[in-house]
Amino acid sequence: MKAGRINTAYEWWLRVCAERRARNERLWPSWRNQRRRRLLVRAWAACVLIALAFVYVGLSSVVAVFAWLAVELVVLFLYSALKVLTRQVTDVPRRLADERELALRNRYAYTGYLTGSWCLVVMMAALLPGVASDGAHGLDANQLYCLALGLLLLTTGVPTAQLAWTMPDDDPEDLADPEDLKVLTQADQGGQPRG
Amino acid sequence: MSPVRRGKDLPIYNRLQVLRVERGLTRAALAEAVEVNPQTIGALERGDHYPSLDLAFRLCEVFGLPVEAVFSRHPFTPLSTQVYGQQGEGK
Repeated sequence: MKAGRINTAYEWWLRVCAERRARNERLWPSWRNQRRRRLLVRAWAACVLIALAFVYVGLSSVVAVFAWLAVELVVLFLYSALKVLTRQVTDVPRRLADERELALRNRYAYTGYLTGSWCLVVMMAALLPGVASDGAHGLDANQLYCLALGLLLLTTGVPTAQLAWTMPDDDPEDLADPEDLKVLTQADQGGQPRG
Repeated sequence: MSPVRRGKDLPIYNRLQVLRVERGLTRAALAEAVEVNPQTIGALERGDHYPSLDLAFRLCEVFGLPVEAVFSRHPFTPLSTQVYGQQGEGK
């Protein structure tokens, strides 16, 4: 009974993912080239660095809190945009991906795993002074929170950012209307006039 | 782009684009026939991705051709040259 419910929920989730993918497939066609994707990756990386810089600034004032929240929201927006522009290949469910996409997902997920491991090392190092001195030294709670969230954004975003950086320009044929392509292909096949 | 490590001097060439257009198939139609995404057909045609043996067989089945007619270790000569060049030699 329980397994049946889990399966139904999973099937529903797959349908949602497939619909979202299909909806986003041709979104923002003018941004589906390497130059613009790389521009977004640079902006994302800069915002993550700014988010991490708040570890030193802290969240002691209301202005700092709002500035920090604004940066986090920009990072999330850029991350979402990169996911759309890379067809969500880095976190696509296995059943929706073909062999090329699975190979790409596995390749970049490994980078994400390595980044996550190093981020944990950084987090442990940041916690160490406080642990060693029983809280007398080291970063305070809100600084640690900034650091943890910054590292989380970095880890989750690195696979998508790396894919966006390396992806070639989208082929115009992939962005064209399938009905237009059918007409063109039929004309090419028989040498018929396209009018 | 292809994630599997291969010798640099051993590329795999294919005739997918020529065969697809010749049969009047769109990328989406071919992709549907072999159950991959249209972008993967594009990546195969550009040589950005090498197919698995399973996908290679599925593609060959669509065209009704043997694997060596679709994939090769050496660059293909244009089909027109192959067909008409041989006819010219026969005369």
